[in-house]
Formats: sequence, C-alpha cells, structure tokens
Amino acid sequence: MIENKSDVIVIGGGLAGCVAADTAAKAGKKVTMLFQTGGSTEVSGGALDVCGVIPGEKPAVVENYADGIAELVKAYPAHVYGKCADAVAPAVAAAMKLAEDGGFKMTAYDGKNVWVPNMMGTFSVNAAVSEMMADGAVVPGEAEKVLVIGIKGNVSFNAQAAAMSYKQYQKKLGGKADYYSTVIKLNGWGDRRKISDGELADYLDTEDGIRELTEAILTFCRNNRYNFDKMLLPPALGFINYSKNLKTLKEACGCKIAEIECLGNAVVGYRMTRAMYKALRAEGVKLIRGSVAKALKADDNGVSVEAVVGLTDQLHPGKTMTFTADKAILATGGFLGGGIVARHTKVWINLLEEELGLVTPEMLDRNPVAGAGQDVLRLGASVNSDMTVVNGGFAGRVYACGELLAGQNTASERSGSGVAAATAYTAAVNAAKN
Amino acid sequence: MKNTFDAIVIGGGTTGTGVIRDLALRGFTNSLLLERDDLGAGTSGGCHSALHGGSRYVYSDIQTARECLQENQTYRKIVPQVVDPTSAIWVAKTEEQIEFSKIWMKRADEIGLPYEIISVEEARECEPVLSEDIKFALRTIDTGFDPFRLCIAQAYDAKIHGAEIRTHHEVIGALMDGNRVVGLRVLDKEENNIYEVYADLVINASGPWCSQITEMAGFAIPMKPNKGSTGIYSMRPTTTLIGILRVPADGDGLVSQGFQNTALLGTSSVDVDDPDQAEPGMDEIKIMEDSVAEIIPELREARMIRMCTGVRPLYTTGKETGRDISRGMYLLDHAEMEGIEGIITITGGKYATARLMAEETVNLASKKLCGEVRPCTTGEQFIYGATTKEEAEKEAQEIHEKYHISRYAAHKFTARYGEFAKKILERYPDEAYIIDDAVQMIGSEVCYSFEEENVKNFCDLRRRTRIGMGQEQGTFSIYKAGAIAQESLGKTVDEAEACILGYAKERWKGVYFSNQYGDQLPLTEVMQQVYVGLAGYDVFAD
Repeated sequence: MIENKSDVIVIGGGLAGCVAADTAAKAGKKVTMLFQTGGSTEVSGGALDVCGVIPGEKPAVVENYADGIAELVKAYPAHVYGKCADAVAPAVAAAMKLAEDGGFKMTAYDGKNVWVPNMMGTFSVNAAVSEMMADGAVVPGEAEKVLVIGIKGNVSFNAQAAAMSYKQYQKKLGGKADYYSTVIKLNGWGDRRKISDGELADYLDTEDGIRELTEAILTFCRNNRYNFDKMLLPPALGFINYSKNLKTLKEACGCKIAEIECLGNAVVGYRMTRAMYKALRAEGVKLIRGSVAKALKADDNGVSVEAVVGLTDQLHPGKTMTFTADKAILATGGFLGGGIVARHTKVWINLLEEELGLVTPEMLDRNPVAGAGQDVLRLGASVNSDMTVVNGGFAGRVYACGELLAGQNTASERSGSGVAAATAYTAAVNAAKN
Repeated sequence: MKNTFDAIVIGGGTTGTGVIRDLALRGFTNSLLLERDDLGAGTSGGCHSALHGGSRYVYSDIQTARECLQENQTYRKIVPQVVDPTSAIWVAKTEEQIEFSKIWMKRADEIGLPYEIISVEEARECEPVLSEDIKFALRTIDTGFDPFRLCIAQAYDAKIHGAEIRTHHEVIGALMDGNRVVGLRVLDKEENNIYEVYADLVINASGPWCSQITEMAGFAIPMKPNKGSTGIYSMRPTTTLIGILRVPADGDGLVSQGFQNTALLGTSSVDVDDPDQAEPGMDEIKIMEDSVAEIIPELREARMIRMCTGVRPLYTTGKETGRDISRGMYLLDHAEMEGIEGIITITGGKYATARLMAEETVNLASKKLCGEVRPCTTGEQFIYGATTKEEAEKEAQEIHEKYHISRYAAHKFTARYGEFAKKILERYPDEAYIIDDAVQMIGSEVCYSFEEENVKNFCDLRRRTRIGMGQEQGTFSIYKAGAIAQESLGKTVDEAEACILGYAKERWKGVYFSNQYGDQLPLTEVMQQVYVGLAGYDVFAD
C-alpha cells in the first residue's frame, strides 16, 4: 500500500532529485520521491562537474571551481549560481556523502578541478570523481607510464586510438605521461565479436569474469619488461561489484587503476543512481519508481501531484494516484531529462504550464563546438532566490531545481552536477522550513 | 596527373555520374569527371530518397511521369540492390481530392502506370496510421533508394571502365580559344593547387550551378534555382510511401526511406537566388507537417531529427516560378544557341530520369566527338557492384553467420556494396563490427571507403556509408569512426579530430534547424554533453 501523504514530494530521480530528497529528509521531513528513471544522471559519467570552463569566444578553463562560479555569475548575471553560490560546497559534499552511503565512493580535490581521460580520447573536467576514475586524473608534470587497456570486442572504447590521443591532448593540461595501449581478449562470453559496456560489466560482476580479467592483465605484465604506473580500463568493471573489483585489480597489479569517463554507457550512471537510491531508502525516503507525474496543483493548503504509477505500456495504462504534501520540488531535468518539452516550434514545461517561447536562431551557434556554447540550453524555469517557481499560482509551495532551471548551459560550463546539487540543496532547505 | 581528355564532365551528382558512366560504356574512356565537393554532395544528395515511378508527376507533367516510370523499371534491373521497390498508397480525403483522383487515374492509364483502387479499410489495414476519415485510396508503385550510393555506383562504374573521377576538384575558369572552350582551370582543394585540363568537349552537368560554369565562358543560362526542403523523422511510421491525391503543393507526402529506419516529409518548392545559400525554412516545414498530418494525424508525435534542403536545377525561359516550370530535362547545345563551341549543358530533369538524360547527352556528345552516335548500353548493363536481390540476400546471410553481424545490418550492407560486400569484410576483418547502431554501419566501411572510394573526410564517409544519418546523428558513432581512422588507417590525432569536427559541423547544419523546430533539443543536449561537456573540443580543438 502506497501512502500518499508526506511533507515534501520530490519529482525526478536524477542527481538533483536525490540531493533534494536527501536534504529534506535530513531536515526531518517525510519525503516521497516520484520518478520514472534516473534521467540524464542515469547515463552520466558518474562524476561531479561544478564549474570547469567559462564559456565565451575564448573559453577559459577554471582551476578552482569557487573562483569559476564567481566569474561565471559575472559573465552571465542570470546564471542560477547567482542564487545559490554559497550552497555549492555543502551541496557537493552532501551529494558525495549520499553516493558514498550507497557504496559509490567519491573523491574531491579541495575545490580544485581535475581532468580525467574519457572515451573520446580527450579529458573531461570534474570537481569530484568516483573512486573508479580517481587514479586516472592527469597529474601535471608527472612522467608516468600509463597503459590503456581495451577489451577485444568492446567497441565503444578504442584503447589504441585513445592512448595516441591522450598523449597529445594532455599537453594542454601540463601532462607529461607516456600512454601505451593494448587489447586484452577475454573468452568468458564465447566467440561473440562485439560486447557492450553493459554486457561486459555483467560479466565482470561474476567471479569468473573478474578472475579472467585479472589473470589476463597479470599475464600481460609478467612477460613485460615495462612497469606501468597506471592502467586505464573501459568503464565496465561491474554494475554491482565494481568497488571490490577495483580493489582486486589494484592489489593484483600493484599499480594505480582507473576506468575512463564516458557518457551514455549506463553502467556508471546506474551505479551512481542506485547507490543514491539505496542511501535514500535507508534514510526513510519513500521512492516510487516508475511513476510519471502528470499534473501538479498547489494552493494555501498544500500541493497535490497526480501521477501514473506502475508498469505502463500499450496494454497496461498504469494506475493514476494522487500524492499530497506541504511542498513539492521539481527536479524533472532539461530537454533530455524530459522536464522541458520542445515540439513544433514551441518550448514549454509541462507540470508548471510555463511557456518558454520560441527557439530563435540567436540561441544557436552555427558551430556545434563553439566556445560560447548553445544558448538554447539556457532555457528553463524561472525561480526566485529560494528556488520557488516564479510562474503560476503555486502559492509559493513549488520549488524547482537542476537542469530544469533557466540560466545555465551545463554542457559548456561543465556545471551540471554543481547546478543540480546546489539548487536542489537550496530548494530543499527552504522547502523544509515551515 | 593526366591533363588531356576527350570529354570532361562537370558535376558529381546523378546527372554527371550518369554521363561519365555512359561515356565510358560507349568507349569514351578517356574522360574525366570533376566535382567541387563529393559525389552526391549537392542536389542529388538533397533529394527525398524516392526514385519516383511517375505517380508524382502524372498530373503536372505527363512526359516526365512517363520517363520516370520507364526509368524506374530500368534502375530496378541495372542496380537492384540499391533500390528498394515499395508500393505507394495515395489517398484522398476531400471532395476536391476525390475529383482530382479521377484525373490522376485517367492520366495514369494513358501512360500505363500500374495502380489499383483499394478500399479505405484495406489502406488502413496496411498503414494503420492513416486517418480514419480518408475517403479514397489507391495503391501504385514506387521505389526507395539511397541517392548517394547510386551516384557513387555510377561514378565507379565509369572508373572501372577507364574514366577518371576527381572529387574535391573545383572548376574555377574556362580556357577559351576564340569562341571555343578548349579546357578548364581547376582548383585541387586538397592541395590548393590550380592546374589546367584540356578536352574536345566539356559537358556541364552542374545542376543549379550550371550558369556559374557557362559564365566563365562568357554567357549565362536562365536558371531558376528552386529549393525543396524536407524534414526527416526518427522512425518509419509507415511501410510504404504515402501521398495525397491533389494538385502538387508543399507537403504532399511522407516517404518511408527504403532500407532505412527514418521517414522523410516532403517536399517544398521555393525559389532561391543562390543555390549555395539555400536553407530550410520553419514555415515550409510547418506547412508540410500540417498538410501530411491531415492524413496521418500521429505524425505530430514523431520527432523530426533534422531538416535539409536540396536545390532543383529548374530551367526557365519565361517568368514562371517554382512548380509551374517544367521539371523536364534540357540539353543545351551552346554551339547552336550562343555560338560557343566545345561545351554542352544538361540540366533540369529528375533523379529518376538521370540515366535517360545521360543517354541523350552522350548521344550528342558522341556525335560531336566522333561524328556518329555510338549505341547506348547503360540501360542494360549492371552498375558497379550490382548483384541480384537473391544474391545480396544470400551474401547477407553468409556475412551474418561468419561475422556475427545482425541479418538486418548485413542486409543493408550488401545493399550498399553489392558484390563488394564480402570482400570488404575479408579485407578488414578486425573492424567488422557495427559502429553506428542507428544506421547499422560497419567499422570496416571506414577503412574501405578511405582506401577505395576516394573518401577524404567524414562528410564523404557519410555519403558512402550513411554514418550518423540515423537517430543519434553521429553522437555516439563518429568518435568510433575517428578511432578506427587512427588505429587502422594511420591518421594522426589531428587528422582524426579534423574528421570528427568536420563531420559534427556538417551534421549540425540540419540539426540547427530542427532545433528551431524544437524536436531535436533533447538530442542536442546529449550532443553538447558529449562533444563539449565530455570531449571538451571547445577547449582542446585548435
């Protein structure tokens, strides 16, 4: 039996939703989380980016993210960081703690950004990374020997091309490492020619799988005159046993081991979201997974959310339920997460019934990798400084956070996790006030 | 580099490649084709991927309809694996449209276009997305095809018969001797080298750009470039081509792309001044979508992944515009018309009638080159790599078994390469895996196209292989192609980066417009996260 009355309803299951639910729960509130999936966090790289680059004609790389945030707000006065800059540090700490409570350990670097190797052969900037990636970070000036290991058939990561590229791109970051590559063949899944990250992760979750990988690497090292300081692997060391597998490999190889960062492989995002859900459940948050909020109403007495709950497809329409609470926090994501809908020249936010106008050519740059980025990504919901939504008759009881908000371009700024955490944290702190 | 030829063809679209093939097959093997970009990069590549069987023009241009019908049958014979014969369902909803259908059927009878009237129930059974309130339906023939592959096949057919193909070589001047064009000044865009070539005859097949060529020889051709914009949906809501029975106007139908899993909304008709500046307009797209949504209401739920526009080379002598101008073919003998010897122009026409256009052109060229019309065999001989459907299917099955590539992918693969398919995988077995799941494109194709098909960059690669033309628009596939170029083709990191970013910029052209339409913003967010957020090309690329 689903109890449908709580103090705070959080809509959305990505990083922002999780931080909002966690913050409200820690403030002693009874929290219900309604979400369909982990949204874009579920396909994310499993790291926290807070502020890595100031977009502009000549994009500027940020060393210390607090400084970057100040500059970002100066350059983009409408930026949502302008409303919650002070919350960034505690919010990032809260996000890390929440993930860690669920078994997904993260490392931060005293407010400094680090660059980790990725699937594209370049490096990605983050303020905190999971333990799975931490060893991969570029250490400026350090002449390390790094072995990039590919797994035969795992075609989303080409180790040889990546090693060539890392060697070149690291120069911009002061890296002095030597990158080598090799491809290891595993036989545990028969004679298949191609294996996805997910399938590989499934295999490495088994005892046979991790044993085969460890032995293959050790065999490779045993006959090799070179000693490597660091080994990089595809982001597929298991959905479940990843932390244990990392430890096994480190002990066996006696060197640093890291996965590379990727987007869209679902393994890393799965780990992170599932860890947070686990921690939230332990905190007593009610997680209603697979639920889609269809309508939101608020008046002086409270908020109510109508949601379709349960398995839905053509044959199963699901069950429509109404959830009530004092406050609601929307963390429904941007265009990708589905919080913002754009069709047939119109852009709008469903639950807020907010129209965002037309996408004009001025919001788009003709260059897809322009330094200033695509301003269309700055479209979103307008909020007050306490994160209550500006628009609509919601009686000051509805808050919004994360990618749903207007003002930020998280791709160009590398600010997605920071914006999600800081705005969610601020929204939840305020929502928890009576 | 050879610099003296019997004939030089300008333009690597379907007309130009058709002409060079015809020249080569008639024994004029000392011929050269010059293309300023890549094969199929202009009008031909911008077409709507239906090799019309004539049904589209039955009303407005019966001659063109007749030729389309005839040529459609020819292409099915000479390049069976590239074309995908589908049926087409044409529907009428209003009284006016029903009246129109009577004229349509009368004209179809006249030219022998096969069709059958089907009940509305049957039409909806075949295509459940058709609106309940359609009043009349008929089924006729049509053909889906890959417009790039056909250009490429024609060009390479000429090449294996001895002709020379130079892509990324732009004509920048005419060499005159009195009132005779004796050669051309050419810019090799890869080397930035300008050189001269000489020929007895220059055949101008540069489509909407054809006047730009003749202006180098001192005279203009009255062209009316006319853009046709199309929108591409992320899926195939119908199995056949769907059309509205009415006087041709913007948004007549939905083309389910043969072999692909996308569908195409087409097509508008708007005059433009400069064919290089043509871009799709939101208003055109909206009109077309509204129009087709009348018969397929659920179309509004479909996501438009990109928009593009092609420019028709319409030839005009008067003040008529757009749809009123005949889309028929024009063979211009400038010796007779302007007194300039050594150059002829072929323009107008349809993709479907390209072989016929080439035949007429080479009839004239043959007379000019050797005083007689050598017999044309292009309608009988298989084009480069062509295999029968049965052979293609058999090979696809073998590829599936040997390389563990899905039957669907193997089928598409044999459709692209015909008899070369198996050889490609035998030659590049290490890359024999799918790198683009949306279009089911195989890694070995990257190697093959760079080494054997004159590919210079990833935009060219796309025309050979369709990489990134599916739902993900290259987001998760193009970096894999870049990695293969590094690992297997010896490309440097810089070269691979140039390939990846060159591709991203080209793809973005179409996505840029669908973004304004709204539909593609979720993918754009992913693309931005991958190419900027993750890869950092904004800070790493030079």
